[in-house]
Amino acid sequence: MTLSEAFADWWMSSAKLLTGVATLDGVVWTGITLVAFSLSIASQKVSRGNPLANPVLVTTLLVGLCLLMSNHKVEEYQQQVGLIHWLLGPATVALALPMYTQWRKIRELGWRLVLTVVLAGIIAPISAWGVLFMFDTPTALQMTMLTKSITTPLAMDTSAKIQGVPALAAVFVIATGIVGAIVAPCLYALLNVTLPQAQGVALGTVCHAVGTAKALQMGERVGALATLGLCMNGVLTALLLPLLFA
Amino acid sequence: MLPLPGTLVGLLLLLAFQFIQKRPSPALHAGGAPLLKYMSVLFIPAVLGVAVYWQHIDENLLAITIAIVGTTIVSLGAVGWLAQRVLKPLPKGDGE
Repeated sequence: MTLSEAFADWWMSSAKLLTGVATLDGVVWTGITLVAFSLSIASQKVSRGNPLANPVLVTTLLVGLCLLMSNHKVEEYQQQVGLIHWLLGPATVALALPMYTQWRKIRELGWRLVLTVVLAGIIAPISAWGVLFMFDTPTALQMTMLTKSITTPLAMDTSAKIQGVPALAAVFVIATGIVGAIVAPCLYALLNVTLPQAQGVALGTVCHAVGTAKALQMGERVGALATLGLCMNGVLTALLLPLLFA
Repeated sequence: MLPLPGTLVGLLLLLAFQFIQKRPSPALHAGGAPLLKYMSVLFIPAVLGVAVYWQHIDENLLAITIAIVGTTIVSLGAVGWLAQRVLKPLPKGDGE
């Protein structure tokens, strides 16, 4: 693709985005989404951080309910709130900010940290993929499952590159996060994982953003290591998968 | 051209930019922090898009459930256990 073709491509997709959003329906549904989101944040506060009160889960249920009741098609909804979806791009790029802040910690912890993250980055997706492989699920689903431990925006982009399904990647990733956030405390107690760094790194690499949120609840050091794990695993896996499978 | 997602390239560019800048830039953080703070809402359109794929999920529900719930628990446990043994304590003076 030449530069001018790329520019024309970008121009057309921007135009398409804006025409979808700049309508009455667009404003209304964007508003509904944002209101649902505020409610979900409130519910999170009220439930004192219960991982089931996950903002994505609650907002999705609320908006989904509205869509069902008004008999509104999901595809149209997606066009109308295109601006929200588009912001995932800049948000993913913004992840570079905490990554840079954590750089000093990476250097301090050295090869041991890198080794742990790399191992986690291999164990988690391969085992999940393996399960789907044994059950003989469609290839697109298998490829999507490989991205389950990357943070959501990167997972969606990466799954698109390896012939997976971005929407499903988002769901798998968030489900993974919620599962991890719920089981982590008793799992760690069971296996005697007491070092805050260990707790954090595991949550961050296997359960990315939602796991990191839980880690931050557990303690500052746990949270810091989780952010590290999230960033490193995210970048490494997102780099590796397309090179292997695209 | 590289088969890398565009946003990942952007991320790496921003990372490189910060390394070159060395001193932290408040403007950069002012712009980026809200995006990170409210990232959850940005996933909603995509997650709802799964309604379109519901049939595919339904057909493979058992496999997907085991893959997500089962392997997450196993991986979390394995990595936690491993990290417990591999990571040495952070240097003193790091503040708890």
